[in-house]
Amino acid sequence: MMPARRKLFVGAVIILLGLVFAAYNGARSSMVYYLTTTEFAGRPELRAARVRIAGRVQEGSVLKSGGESRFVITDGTTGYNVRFRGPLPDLFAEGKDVLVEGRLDGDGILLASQVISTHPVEYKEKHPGR
Amino acid sequence: MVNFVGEIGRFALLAGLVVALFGIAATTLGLTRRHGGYLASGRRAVTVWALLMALASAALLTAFLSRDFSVRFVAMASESTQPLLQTIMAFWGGHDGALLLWALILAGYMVVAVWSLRSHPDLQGPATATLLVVAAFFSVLLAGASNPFAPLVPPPPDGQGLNPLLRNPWMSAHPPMLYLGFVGMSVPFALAVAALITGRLDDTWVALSRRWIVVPWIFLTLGLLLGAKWSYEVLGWGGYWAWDPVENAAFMPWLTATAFLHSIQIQERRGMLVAWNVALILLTFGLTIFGTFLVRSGVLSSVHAFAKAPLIGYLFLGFLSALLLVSFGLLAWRWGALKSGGTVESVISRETAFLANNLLFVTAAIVVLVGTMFPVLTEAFRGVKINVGPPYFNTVMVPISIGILLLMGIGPLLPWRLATREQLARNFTLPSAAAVLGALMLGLLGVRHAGALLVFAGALFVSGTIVLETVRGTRVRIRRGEHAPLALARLFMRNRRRYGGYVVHFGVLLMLVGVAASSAFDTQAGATLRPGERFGVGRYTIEYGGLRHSELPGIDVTEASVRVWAGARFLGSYSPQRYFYRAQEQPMHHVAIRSSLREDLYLILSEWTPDGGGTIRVLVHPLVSWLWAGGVVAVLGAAFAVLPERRRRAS
Repeated sequence: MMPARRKLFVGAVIILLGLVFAAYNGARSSMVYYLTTTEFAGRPELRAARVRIAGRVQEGSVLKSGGESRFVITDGTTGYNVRFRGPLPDLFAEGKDVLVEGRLDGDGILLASQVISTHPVEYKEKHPGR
Repeated sequence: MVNFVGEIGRFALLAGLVVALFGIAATTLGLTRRHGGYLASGRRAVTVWALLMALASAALLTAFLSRDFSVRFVAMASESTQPLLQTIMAFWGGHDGALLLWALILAGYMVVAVWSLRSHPDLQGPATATLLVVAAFFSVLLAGASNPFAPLVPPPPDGQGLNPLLRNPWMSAHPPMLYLGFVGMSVPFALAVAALITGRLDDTWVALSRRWIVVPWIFLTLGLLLGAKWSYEVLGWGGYWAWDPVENAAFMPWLTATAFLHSIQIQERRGMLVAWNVALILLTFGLTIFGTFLVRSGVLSSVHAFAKAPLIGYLFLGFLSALLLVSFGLLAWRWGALKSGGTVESVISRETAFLANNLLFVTAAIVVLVGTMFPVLTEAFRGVKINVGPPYFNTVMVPISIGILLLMGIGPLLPWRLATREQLARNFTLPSAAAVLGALMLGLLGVRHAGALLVFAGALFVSGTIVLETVRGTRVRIRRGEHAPLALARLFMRNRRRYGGYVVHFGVLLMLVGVAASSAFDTQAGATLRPGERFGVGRYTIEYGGLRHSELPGIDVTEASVRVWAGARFLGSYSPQRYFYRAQEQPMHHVAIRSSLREDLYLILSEWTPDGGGTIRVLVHPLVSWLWAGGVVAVLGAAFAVLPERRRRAS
């Protein structure tokens, strides 16, 4: 019969393997690439991936109609059209910094699942878009 | 005009650096030359440093109260229309003031710790030196890169004002509590380093460390709870925890400290895991410094890790590396002397339960660490930042939490060394029956969510074991002729650690039930309505009554009037609001929450139209109040457990 210490060791390894497996699955299903607009444009292999794009809301680009918002996110060099259904965060405004999470559709429009405002002051607000 | 307050503050911070360095030198000399006079100088340096930090804090507070906008930090974090409480809160409403608060709290802990170690002179010296090293690090930051008294020339007519997100009463308590927790971990760290240096990791060290880690643990728990409460009320999305890096930074040291509070008991009873326990303390303190670094350096929020990281980020990293290197170096050096006294003799024993507890808590800390640092790691190895979201954390933390929940019931009732079949049957038959019956009943009532059912059943099981233990203990006393209420009270008073621990466990299981229920069974709906229109959410009917606009100093307020019914019963009128801070051009939610033991009704005014229509979003979260109540119970239990036991009169 195995001594108690070895049994515990085997048990611990099994538990750890299970947790690592769960972590791996969780990470794979929730991975989001975090890039600026220009970097995103320079990485065609990420066209189908879920991405979080950092940029600025282009002045004069915001259009709202029937619960859907459209705007352009840009870093000054490269811009993407964004479509988002849902309430925009409190700090969302033209010219302000913004993070857009989502995927590109076939026409190169960024379909946002989440729009997050970033704020220059510390204690950044967390999840206003949810 | 000479800026008097600013001068005093700058002087105090600079003098603080000098005094801390002097104290380190004096204490080191005293230790190496075994010279009591030098050691006494070192202790006096602690007192003087504390007084200087108090002076600097008083100066900063004066600057805030006198609205001295020639001090940059005051101009950044306050404005003249701000009410008194918010002006005081502005002290920690920004980076530099927060660091000063940190130093002030460290000063308080140091004075008490050094004083209370007078009966352990061998530990007192090295602990003093270690604490002074931490003090010197914060003095370097405060005297240099993060000086809260940096001048602003020319002074603006008015300040920027406190970040509207922080203008919430919970924010008056959250940062101080969190810092009391974080900073307090430096005392057990200093004790561990002292014990490693002297080579005496004996029962004295165990008793001292346990007490000195429970105190910051209580504050850290409170800080986490207050932060969750703030998030729930202020951020307006109806959640209290989002695996945000800032939250994770505070959660990681809590996990390792909790692991220590359990594994120290194996060392106490069986002499095992000495080195492991020291490592947990070193790690806990390291994680508090690391957490501060994460929050303060902006490493995670910006697209590129070190592109914009300020000097202070590198200082923190340097300090952290030196700290871990030296302390773990000491541990390695003492490794031979830290042989475990005992071994696990049987799989089904209290020891196994504690080991499993530690496995789960430490794995949880690692999982949170990896998830938090994922973008930094992937940027380093693959050149692109990849974030992982809540699903990553949840898929691992849910099974870990359920495991910990079950252990809370199993562990305390397992005997040390070896459990017999009879003991197992005697201790676990009733609680298991309660759990199975409860789960069946909940299933029949329509609870179909497997994870939630498991948590509810586990909670019943744990409650069963706690009740069983309490009833047995009370019965023994009743048999000895005590009246039932007195017997129960004495049982608790005479075994504070044990029963305080049960109270903490009970609080934690209330929290887990609250978390499980509110995340598994939340409902939400929203509708854009004309005044007088209604819509239904679950059992509630919501009637929108229209908008009202008003003004507070510096703030435009838009308020919706909402009436709520549950079935035919009128529950009341609520007014979810939106604030618009004019100076900061920042809108803010002021949600309306109807909280009951059963569920929270969370009302948000999300948008409105100029002609008086409004969009109301409604979230229904069951049992959220259990989370807050459980947190309070856990904190009270821990406080009860750590109160000094009254010495029995010698008979």
